[in-house]
Amino acid sequence: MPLSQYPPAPPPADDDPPEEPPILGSWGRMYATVLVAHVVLIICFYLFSQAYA
Amino acid sequence: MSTIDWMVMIGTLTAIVSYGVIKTRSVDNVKSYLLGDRDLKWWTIGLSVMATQASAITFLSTPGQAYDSGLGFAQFYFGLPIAMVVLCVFVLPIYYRLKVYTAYEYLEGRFDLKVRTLTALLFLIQRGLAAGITIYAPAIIMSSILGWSLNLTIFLIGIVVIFYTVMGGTKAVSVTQKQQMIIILLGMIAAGVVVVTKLPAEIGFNDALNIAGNLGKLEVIDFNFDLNDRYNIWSAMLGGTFLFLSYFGTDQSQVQRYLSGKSLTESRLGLLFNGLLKVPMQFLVLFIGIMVFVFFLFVAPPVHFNNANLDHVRESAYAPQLVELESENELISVRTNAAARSLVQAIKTDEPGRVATAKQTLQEAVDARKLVASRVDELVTQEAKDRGIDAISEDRDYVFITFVINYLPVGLVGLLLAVIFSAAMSSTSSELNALATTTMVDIYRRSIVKDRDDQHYLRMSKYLTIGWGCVALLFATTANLFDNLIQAVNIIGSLFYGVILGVFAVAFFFKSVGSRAVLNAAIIVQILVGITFTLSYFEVIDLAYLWLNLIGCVLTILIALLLENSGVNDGPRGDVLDA
Repeated sequence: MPLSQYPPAPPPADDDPPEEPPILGSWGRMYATVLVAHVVLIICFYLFSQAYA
Repeated sequence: MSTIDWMVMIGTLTAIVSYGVIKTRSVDNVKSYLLGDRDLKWWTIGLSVMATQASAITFLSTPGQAYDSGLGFAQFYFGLPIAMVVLCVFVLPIYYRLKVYTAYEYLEGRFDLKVRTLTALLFLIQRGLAAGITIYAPAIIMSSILGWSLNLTIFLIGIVVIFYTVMGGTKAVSVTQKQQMIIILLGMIAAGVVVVTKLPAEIGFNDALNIAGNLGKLEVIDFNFDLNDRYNIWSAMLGGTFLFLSYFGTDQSQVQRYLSGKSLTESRLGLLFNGLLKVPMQFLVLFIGIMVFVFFLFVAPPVHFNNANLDHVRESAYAPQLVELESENELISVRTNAAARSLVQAIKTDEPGRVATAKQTLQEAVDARKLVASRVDELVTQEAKDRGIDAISEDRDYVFITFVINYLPVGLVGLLLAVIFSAAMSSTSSELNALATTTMVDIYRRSIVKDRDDQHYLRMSKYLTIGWGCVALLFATTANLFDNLIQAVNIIGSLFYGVILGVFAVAFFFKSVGSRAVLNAAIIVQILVGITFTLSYFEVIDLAYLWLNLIGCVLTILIALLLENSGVNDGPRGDVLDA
């Protein structure tokens, strides 16, 4: 299909089915897991620095 | 470099490029060329996103940064996981629902063509400049190793990247990046293991950490709030988050990676995968730099890591002074070796007084070494000035590659060079692909030639890729004007990302603001950011560049709201397309 036939920005389809993540049941839990893991990592970095200071 | 290393390096790179070309030989229409076939799984997206960000600069400059300043640079990436989550929640669903080719395409529906064109142009300027630096970084290595001219090396690297990017488009970029990222991770882990095994037999891994820690090299987190400090947790969490929101949410070189996902779920998983893995990966790269630092406490480092600079000084009237400084460096290395061993012994006895004395002795030896290095830097600068040129005496970017070439075993040297080339090719190919796509979709096809057939746009996309490749090569030849490559890329990004992110933030979250207000705000703030950076550059004000992202974004939003509410900037609001 020619590129010119693709409209720049078609209207959103309101009936798109919601997509679920493969694990943890909801995207909210997925995001929370990533953020908690990040906080744990920062705490580990802090403890690591303190241990060898 | 040995024959085996050459075989490993050329074999690895040839295999990856051939794989990319073969896998994408069926790309024969512009949609496949610019978006792939939208069939990528999350791990390919995640690795592709990581490979796009991790250029050769990451693997050359970052260990040198740690060697010089410790682990604090890791904080720079602390905003990244937060940005990944924000993008997954707010931005990806909109891009997917609107089925856009580029991030800027969305802005035309939300505002108008002028806003779309302005943001596309800001992207093209900053990414076009950065693409040159990502080619330049590996070129300095090869020119240094082979004794080739720098420009010839830049040209050869650029041609390989342009070749497979032109051949296979977006899909070639993504499929090669997956292989490249695997090689990169394996190579860096191998380098990390080898540097630890190269330490003296009686110095264990924990001893190495104790030495580095006592010299202040392991301080990852800095809680002090200082606007002029480039890397503290506050600038990282605020400025860094805005930088990454802008980079991953609005920079087409990244947007194009996750828009080629099979579904919204795959793209979200790819970004979250990046959010989980990126900070540990950067920490690993920095940590290798720390281990190289400890290694050079026991083995005499070069008095200056850039051999090309040293060669110039050796051939000049300053040669006797250099010989003297090299002798002094050797003597100091005997001191650092003995002092580091004493510190390890002192720590084992657990006597605070003895530890403090040993630490002070080692610190004094390290300071003496730095002093000698700074005197060599002065010779390098003076010798270059005598030749009428401005030399770059900064040698941090050469630290890791010097270690790789001189101390890694045969075979692994070739693999690590393949790592650096892979990183350069992966990020450069993404950039060329995105530059060509944005020019094609947002400028050429939208405003210049609107109604031609698919083959015309496919052919033009390839020409545009070649054209941007040539622009990148041109800028690569001037990249030595910057004293630290990784910072140069981030500074260029920070100059433009804040405004671009501000425009997108208005589009997503302030539905009452129209096109004229946001366009005027973007232009005003871009000028203000330029002035602020100039004042900072000439030390009139103290401001670390990361804050430019926050300033640019917040000011764009505030001024757009102000202009809109003043009633003189009415314009289209894109009610239909607003998500």
